[in-house]
Amino acid sequence: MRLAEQPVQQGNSAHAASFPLPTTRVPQDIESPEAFFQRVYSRHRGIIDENLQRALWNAKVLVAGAGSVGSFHAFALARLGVRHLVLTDPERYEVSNLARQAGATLPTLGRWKADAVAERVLEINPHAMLTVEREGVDASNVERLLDGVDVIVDSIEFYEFEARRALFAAAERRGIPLVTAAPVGFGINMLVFRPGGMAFEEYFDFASCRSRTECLLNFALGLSPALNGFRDLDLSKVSASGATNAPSLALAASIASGVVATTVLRLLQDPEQVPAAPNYVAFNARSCEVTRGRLRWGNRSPLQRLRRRVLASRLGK
Amino acid sequence: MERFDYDQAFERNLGVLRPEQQARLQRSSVAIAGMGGVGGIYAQAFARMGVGGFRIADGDTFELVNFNHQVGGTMQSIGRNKALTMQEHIRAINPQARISAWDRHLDEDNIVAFLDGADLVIDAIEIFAVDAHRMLFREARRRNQTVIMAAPLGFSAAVVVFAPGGPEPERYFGWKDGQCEVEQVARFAMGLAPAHMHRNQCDLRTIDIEARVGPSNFSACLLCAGIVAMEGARRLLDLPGQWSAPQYLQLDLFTLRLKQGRLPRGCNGLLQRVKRWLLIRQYRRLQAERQARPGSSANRPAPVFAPAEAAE
Repeated sequence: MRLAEQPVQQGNSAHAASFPLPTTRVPQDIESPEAFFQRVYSRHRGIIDENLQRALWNAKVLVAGAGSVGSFHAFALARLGVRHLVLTDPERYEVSNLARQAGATLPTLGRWKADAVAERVLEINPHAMLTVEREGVDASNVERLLDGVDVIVDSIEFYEFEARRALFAAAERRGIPLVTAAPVGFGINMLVFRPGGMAFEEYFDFASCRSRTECLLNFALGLSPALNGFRDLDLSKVSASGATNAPSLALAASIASGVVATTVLRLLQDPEQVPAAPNYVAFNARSCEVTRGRLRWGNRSPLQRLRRRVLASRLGK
Repeated sequence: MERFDYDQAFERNLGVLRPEQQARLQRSSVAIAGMGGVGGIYAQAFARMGVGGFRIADGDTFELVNFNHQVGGTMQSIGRNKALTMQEHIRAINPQARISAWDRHLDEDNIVAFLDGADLVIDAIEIFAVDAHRMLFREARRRNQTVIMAAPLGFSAAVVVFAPGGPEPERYFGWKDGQCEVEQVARFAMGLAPAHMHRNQCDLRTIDIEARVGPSNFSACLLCAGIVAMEGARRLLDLPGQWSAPQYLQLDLFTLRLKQGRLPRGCNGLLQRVKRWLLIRQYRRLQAERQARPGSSANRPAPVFAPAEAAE
């Protein structure tokens, strides 16, 4: 037995001193990454072929936001066999995260989310190569975080609109495919942005928004044109401006991460095959329904504008 | 470490759940048989939903080969019992949870204590252990308990719910003593997933029923957990839209398509018999090919991928 080499790279050197070193001991028979790869991921044999499994192992995925759904995504990707992960989150765990964040447990309360998730990922794969950023994504670090990234998973907090906008813009500039899956109520809504599909700004039609609240409404409506999941919610508990979080259950996050992990695999296999914006897809576990469709004009369509008005009036503000 | 407070921990469920529903979940108790592939994620999903009572059982220990698809499989849990590891994990989410854990597989001796007082039963025993499934279904039936079962197949999740008023699982799957193992497992898999959406995703050559080996996939397990937690909440909270066998549901992550249907005669319908006959014939043919292949030491799927050099 010997200590694993330190596979964690600090995204931000200012935090380097306080980041705990991984203490995972690696048994001798899986000391080499190749041995570990063979032993663990050969269990996918029959579902994922070896070439694709190696592509997953060599791919680098940015999980933007290690909060509620992001921690589920990170663990799902690690177990699927993605070795290189970039984890970012600007927050620490608190008690109310226990209900739906995969990385939140009593021992991790009070800790940086990105750190806690990184440690757990190293428990799943001691050969994982991680970049950890405690600042969250913003315009200043997005270029650095995207270096060498093959696929982006967007799990940024719903109300962090500016961060999301910076991330999507950078992804489009570099031509990196991006998948976002938002759990709402008992349902999930998924969108994929990639070269060949519709652009982010165009799809959500942010140009027509006069305020931040309108941008958020447009984002919600673009994610979920059929308003999947919103019927599960008590809308008095939701604020359009960001005072409270949109409620959802851990079960929706679990489904979202299953969908996202599979979509990442499909994007690595052949991005052209994956339907991208303006196509959307949603699943609701309560009504047992899959909804899919195509918003040809994005949020500029008259129906979407009408929906925005209705939703805005129902949210009160 | 911050102090735990139930209401604070689960406050963000409100808005989806009403306060009285959340309180009911806290009072409820769920029995989950098996803490492996899907069972561990079920435990986690129910714990994060705020369910207060757990009865869990598994006699296996975590191994490296579980890492790709079992939430409890980490470097720290290697060699540790699955039920006891997951008990700790539930406590780390909700220290007030009432947990009874058995570090043994379910058998005639402990099944009574396991099911007693459970409001809902979840079957997460590995698919190949048909005898254990039969015992669990039978005993739950005797106690008028609802059993939910989901199987990750390829990239899809297949779900069935056996409610007290519906068909008996034993008759739905058409199991009888004296059937060979291959037939029993085939009946089980096809009764769970009559839509057979995983047809082109799961290579039959990598399944060995006698050796109890088959491929696994974490994303399908996550989907199973989401749907099972939803159906569990539906039962525990009497939410509308309840469905049960002979209805079935299968959702595929790859194409994101959902199939729902009814199988009024269970696995004994004519179409099901023909399909099963074809499937078993194909399975046996592939099995024979594998045994006949020179150089294969046993009739088992190779434990690892071919070495990187040899693959090129």
